[in-house]
Parts: sequence; structure tokens; C-alpha cells
Amino acid sequence: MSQIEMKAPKGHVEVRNFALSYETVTARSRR
Amino acid sequence: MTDTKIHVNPGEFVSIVGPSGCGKSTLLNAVAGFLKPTAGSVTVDGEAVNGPSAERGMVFQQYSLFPWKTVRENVEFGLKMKGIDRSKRETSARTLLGLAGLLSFENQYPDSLSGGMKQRVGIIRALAIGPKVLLLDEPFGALDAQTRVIMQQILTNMWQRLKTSVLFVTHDIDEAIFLSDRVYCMTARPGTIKAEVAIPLERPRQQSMMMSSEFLALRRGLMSLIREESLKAMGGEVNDTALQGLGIDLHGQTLADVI
Repeated sequence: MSQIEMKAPKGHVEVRNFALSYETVTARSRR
Repeated sequence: MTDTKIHVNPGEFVSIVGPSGCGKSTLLNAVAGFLKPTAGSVTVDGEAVNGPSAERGMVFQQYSLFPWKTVRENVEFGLKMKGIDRSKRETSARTLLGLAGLLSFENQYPDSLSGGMKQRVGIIRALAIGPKVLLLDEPFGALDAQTRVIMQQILTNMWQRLKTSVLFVTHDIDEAIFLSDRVYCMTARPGTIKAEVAIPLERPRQQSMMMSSEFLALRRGLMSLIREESLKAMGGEVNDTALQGLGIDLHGQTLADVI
């Protein structure tokens, strides 16, 4: 059996079914 | 933005291109945790993104360095916030400064640096905290064309050594192809993903590759995808036919005859 401990992959980014309303973005930029 | 799906595999370099105002930066800001989605989810290594975190390093077009701190102090800042001791901080910062070709400028202040140098400091400052993913929002947008090309080479060389996951936003198609493993092309509003293009160019990447037939074929494909969306984004009167003169025949009249 291997003595080397395998590290879990790092830096996996996932964006799923992402939606952002125009109002949310503009409200933030007005703040 | 609506029904957008993207992913970045560990150690992958992925770019997002699209017409102005399509939401490229908005998407990046959501991955950074600056914006919460109206629907859907953003995860990094399976964990939901609920706000900004040191796990995601961000580099903006404007250099946003601390002008009162030296170059090395800027790079060390995140490590100091994490409570890393002085000698370890200094070693890490100097290694990264060496990688970016800035070691001899470590004691200078940002004001004395060129735009390209400032942005290299910005990138290694974001890398210094060891993020799981590096997010770059048009980082070379404020640089002149020659400096930009050199910065692309430096970034690809650094990435080749560090193998950090990168999500890169740009409107420059050549830049996206040169740097990336994959490129997502976005539509005009409402912004969503129109196409995903794999970039099979070998690594390490060299500027000379930009003249290769493979590169130019990728460029033609992406250009045609984006042109269609850019025309949509510019409004109804601008289309391929109208661009010949916006559909108006002046019948030989000059400006003086028209006004």
C-alpha cells in the first residue's frame, strides 16, 4: 500500500444555474 | 445574468470573454463572494461561497496597492493578517518577488513603479496568501499593448510553475487564447454562457505561437462568436450590413451640405 497520502484536489470552482438580477447589481453599485 | 454554468478544474487556467456589459466581472465578483446570486450556487471545492475569503485571491484592473507600504510589505500584508511570523513572511514574499522579477524593487514604494510592475505586485500579493483560486478581472486592461504582451508571458510562466486554479476575465481574445486551457464566451444581456472553447495549444506558451495556424483558427472562431454578441450589445441599428455606413446614403453630400 502506498505510503503517500493523496491530497484532495484543491481549487475546483463550480458555478451552477447562476442568475443575478439587474436590480441586485445596480442596488449594490448605488450603495 | 441567467442560467450560467461554468467550472474551473484544480490547476486549470480558464478565461471568460464577452461583449462589454455582459456580466463577466459580475460573475467573477460572485465567485469572489462580493455578490450573492439571485438563484443558483457558487462552490469552491464543494463548499458554498457566502462571502469574500482568503481562499480566493482577487486582482483588479486598478492596482489597489497600499501606497504607504513598500513592495515587499504589500506582498506580505495578507500573510501578516494570517499571523505568519516575520521571517517566514519575508521568505515567502521574496520568493514570489523573485518569480515576478521584482526582487530588486522590494524596498521601493508603489509610486515609483511602472503600471506593469504594480500589477505584478498585485498578482503576487494575491498569490502570497496561497489561495485555492486566483481571480483576475481584466488585470492588464490599463497597460499599453507592449507591456500587456510581456505581462501575459510573465503570468503564464508563473502559472506554469505554481499551477493555481485561475479564473481570468478579459475582453481581449488573443490574451484569453494565449493564457488559457479553456475559454468561456458570454452572450450580450442577459448574460449567459454561449460557448466553451478548449485551447489545445502546447505549454509552455510562447508569444510566437500567436502566429501559428492553430492559434489563428481559434482566434477566428472566438472572434465570430463575440462579434455577433457585440453587435447585439450595441443596439438594433448596428449590424453587419449597416456597418458599411449605418444604412444612410449621403448621395455625395459633404458635412457642410448635411448640417
